[in-house]
Amino acid sequence: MAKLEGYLSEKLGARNLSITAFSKNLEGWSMETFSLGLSYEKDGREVKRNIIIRKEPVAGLLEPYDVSIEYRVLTALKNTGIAIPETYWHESDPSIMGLPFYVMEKVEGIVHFFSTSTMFDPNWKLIPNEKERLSLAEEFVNNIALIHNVDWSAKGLEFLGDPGPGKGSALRQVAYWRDVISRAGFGKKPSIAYALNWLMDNPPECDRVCLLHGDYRTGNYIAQDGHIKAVLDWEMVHLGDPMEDISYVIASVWRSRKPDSWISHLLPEKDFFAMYEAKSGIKIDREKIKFYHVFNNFKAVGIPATAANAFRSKPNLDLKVGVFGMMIYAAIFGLVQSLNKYVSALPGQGV
Amino acid sequence: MFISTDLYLKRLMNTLEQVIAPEIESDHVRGQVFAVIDLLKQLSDRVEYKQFIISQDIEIGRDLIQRILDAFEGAGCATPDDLRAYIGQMDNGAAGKGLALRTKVEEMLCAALNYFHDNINKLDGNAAKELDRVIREGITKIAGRDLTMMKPPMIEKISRSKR
Repeated sequence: MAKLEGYLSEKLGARNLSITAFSKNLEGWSMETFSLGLSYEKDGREVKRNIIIRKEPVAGLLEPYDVSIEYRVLTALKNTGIAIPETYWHESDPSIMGLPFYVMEKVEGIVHFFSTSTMFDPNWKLIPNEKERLSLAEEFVNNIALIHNVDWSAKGLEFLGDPGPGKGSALRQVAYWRDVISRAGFGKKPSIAYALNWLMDNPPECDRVCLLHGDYRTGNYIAQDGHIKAVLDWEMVHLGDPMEDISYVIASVWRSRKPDSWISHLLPEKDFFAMYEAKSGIKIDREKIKFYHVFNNFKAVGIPATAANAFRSKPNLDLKVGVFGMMIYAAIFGLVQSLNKYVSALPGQGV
Repeated sequence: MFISTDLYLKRLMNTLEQVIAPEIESDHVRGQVFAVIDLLKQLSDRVEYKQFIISQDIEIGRDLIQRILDAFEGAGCATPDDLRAYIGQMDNGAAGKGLALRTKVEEMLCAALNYFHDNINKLDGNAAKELDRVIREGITKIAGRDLTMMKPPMIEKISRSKR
């Protein structure tokens, strides 16, 4: 701890710095997030502040890790109106905390958690206060619309890789996740082979490449008093077709229980689509959404596959990685279900 | 199971011994943790995959490969020699057994699915449709069986564990 205090003193230009609180966030299953309380003197004044350190894990669900991507994106998105935490600096030197990390503002509020213990209670609501839910719904749509409308080129985000017009957005993502699944040792599973052939044959055209969050949903933002204070977890940020993000957002796994079936526990699908179109100026394309529904289920296999592989190959890991690896059965079932729902292997009878 | 039972048990024992036991204040409870480790050690050489899972994967995989080859050969198409030869090896018991066989069957089935995908236009519409239905039925059966064996994960207790 003394080493970290010395490092933070130097970075902050502070004297007599002490870490008064230090805790690891247990809710994240990928990057490691630490909350720190600091006390120090600067310019003759006594300062007390809280910061967040977000560090690459030794291994996890989304390998390979590069925390600098998230840092660079969040930093570039300052002053765009998107609710994000303020970033302070990125540290690539692994000698400080074992692996690279970045430092950002601590945003106060709550992160909603999908409780499995209440999932069979028909009266249970993740956000029981109606006024709060409606306000969050509006800001939820507003933030995704803002993300999709970012002028990513002007913001210096080309480093994320422009897939170009046409089928590049879809093909690039399919190839990326194909490689992830293959690296994890799951490329030779029949359901994967079947899905991959179809995805490679049926990529939709994209006429507008947008910045995509990649994991946008309730549970990945900090809320306070009915407002979204910060959109979190940008680990899967990339450039691509906005319908990829929309398809992810509306996936059943993130919805409230039937009969409401609200998008991210916030609003009905038709309201979400109407608000999104109005706020973003981007038209919902239901046919593309079907393709990306299969794709997102394919991607969903890659995440537990990576976890299972990390658990298999790296000893002394947090057992959470093993638990997540076990979820591959649910992910493969989801993929097969989406194939059965939308896909025909026969030429010309795709989605 | 994609990871061996043995490896899961080793990881569990390691975490109990290296991470959990040192944090436990009560001598009695720490002793109980070591008892759990001991039991897991004793069990580790005796637990096995459920045989029916491996057998079912192999049986479904073999059947699908055969159905794909038969459909194309019936339409007068040449099929990959290695796939037909592999079916022969399986039938005369020369293809191995257990998990290694399951892995190889999955690999060969992927090759058969790729062949089906690349040559689907050589089948007439109804034959292609029927073969596609059979393939999906097979992969759905395995995925469905694996899902029903899953227990609800204790995500909330793991992530927000409170005394």
